[in-house]
Amino acid sequence: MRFRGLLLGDIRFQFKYGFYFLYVLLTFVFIAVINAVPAAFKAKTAAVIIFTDPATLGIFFMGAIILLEKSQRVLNSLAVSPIKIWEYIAAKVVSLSIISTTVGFVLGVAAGAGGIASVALGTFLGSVLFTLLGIIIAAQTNSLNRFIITTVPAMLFLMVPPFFELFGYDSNIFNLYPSNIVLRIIAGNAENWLLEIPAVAMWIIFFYVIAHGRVSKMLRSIGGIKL
Amino acid sequence: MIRVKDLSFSYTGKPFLENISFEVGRGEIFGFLGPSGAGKSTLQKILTGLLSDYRGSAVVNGIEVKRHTNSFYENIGVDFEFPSLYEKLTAKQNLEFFGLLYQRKLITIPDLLRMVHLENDADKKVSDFSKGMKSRLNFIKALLHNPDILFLDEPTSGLDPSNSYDMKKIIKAERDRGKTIILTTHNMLDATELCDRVAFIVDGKIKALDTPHNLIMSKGAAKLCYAYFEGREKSGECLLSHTGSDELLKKLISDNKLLSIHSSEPTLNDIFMEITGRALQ
Ligand SMILES: Nc1ncnc2c1ncn2[C@@H]1O[C@H](COP(=O)(O)OP(=O)(O)OP(=O)(O)O)[C@@H](O)[C@H]1O
Ligand SMILES: [Mg+2]
Repeated sequence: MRFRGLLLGDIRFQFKYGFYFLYVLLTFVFIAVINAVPAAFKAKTAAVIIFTDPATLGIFFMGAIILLEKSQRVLNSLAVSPIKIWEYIAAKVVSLSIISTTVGFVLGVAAGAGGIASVALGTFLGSVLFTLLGIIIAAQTNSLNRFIITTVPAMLFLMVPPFFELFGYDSNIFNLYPSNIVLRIIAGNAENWLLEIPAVAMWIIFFYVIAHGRVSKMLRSIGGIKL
Repeated sequence: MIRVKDLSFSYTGKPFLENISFEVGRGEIFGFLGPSGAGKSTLQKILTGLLSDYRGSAVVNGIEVKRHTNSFYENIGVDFEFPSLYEKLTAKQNLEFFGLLYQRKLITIPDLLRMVHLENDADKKVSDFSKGMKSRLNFIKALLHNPDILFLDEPTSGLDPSNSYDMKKIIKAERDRGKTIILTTHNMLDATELCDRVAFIVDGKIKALDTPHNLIMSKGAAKLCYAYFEGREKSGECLLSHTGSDELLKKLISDNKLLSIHSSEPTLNDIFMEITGRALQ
């Protein structure tokens, strides 16, 4: 009940702030791009687009959403309501992953990608990871500037290694790196499922635990104590 | 319902709230009255579980506040000093959203909106609301889940006299229904009118705690003020209990020379200044 309420609230919030509209528009643009490249590169182009956009959109959207919640003091109201921290986080993660996974799926279909289930799964996992990362960063920032300054290096760390791998520079160090696994799954290059899925799950749990601590701190610091 | 004992708290390490003790029962409106920066909102934040590293004890609804779980909030309604609403949602959507967070039976949204005369603004976005409309919506949001304890921080600030009057009526009706209400204010008229007991809070300490009536009676006695003409307009005053020994007054009365005469009881504001040496507003 409470979780459903939070989830519907988040979806409505994202709708009102035009996230859905934006992504319908972007999806058309992306489809146009995918159609413009030669057939041989379609799948790879789609993978790059999906990985750099729908799979990672969570981080920036999360920043926007939490900073808006802070500025409208909605977090104060939530802090004195019976919600649990996992409900708050899960609602954000699920609501954004609905947008991501849908867009990933549509782009995968548009590119004629072979393993469409794999594309959707990779997008979903990426979305969960990056949304959690967005929560971790946004929970401890109070301004958009600070958020962006912290996000850019985090994005570089996560986004660069997968591209080396995609374009043929193979290094075993990054075999179990979360973003590498995500791009591998999106691009249909995943082979070692028994290792990769548990590895991503571990990364998600790890990010979740940090996010839980950060959100708990954020809600407690509404009283004004810097923790 | 609320029992605070030897409570101390500091934001910075420098002592701020010190040795606060009081109890509030069912069906009582208890006022925190004090100048800006005195610590009223801080005390409210402690009682609502938003500041947990206090010393001493603060028990609300049988629960030591620093050890509360999420269900603690099922039975507490908080009206913050500032609006805490989704700006892009309508009044109705805001109430619907917050309503879903509680397991208790809710007061219906049309009833709530009618209480504060917002029934015709239900589908307007909060960002298009005036300051007073936001305050009223914020107020009914605290009542939504029909909690037994209400914390109201300056609920009437920014309201016009008629809305302020109506809100005070609602607050009294809630009290009569058995709710425990903590009212934070620097408006001593509101405090006199609404509160069963008030605590004067200055610089983080309780300087006095009693019913408004007792506070007023304990200190300044009622006075009689009068004006007369003697070359120019002059005025005099005496205690109501000593009118018989004011020779000037007796003479003015028998000579029909009084220009005006009225009795004046001290206000809570006078008492506040007398006890704390500081102005309330
Ligand atoms: N987050 C914070 N960190 C440090 N000091 C704070 C914080 N919040 C409030 N204070 C300080 O605590 C004191 C009391 O603030 P509080 O908000 O409790 O006052 P108040 O009595 O509610 O005043 P007002 O009537 O203006 O609302 C002030 O001196 C304020 O500067
Ligand atoms: Mg205050």
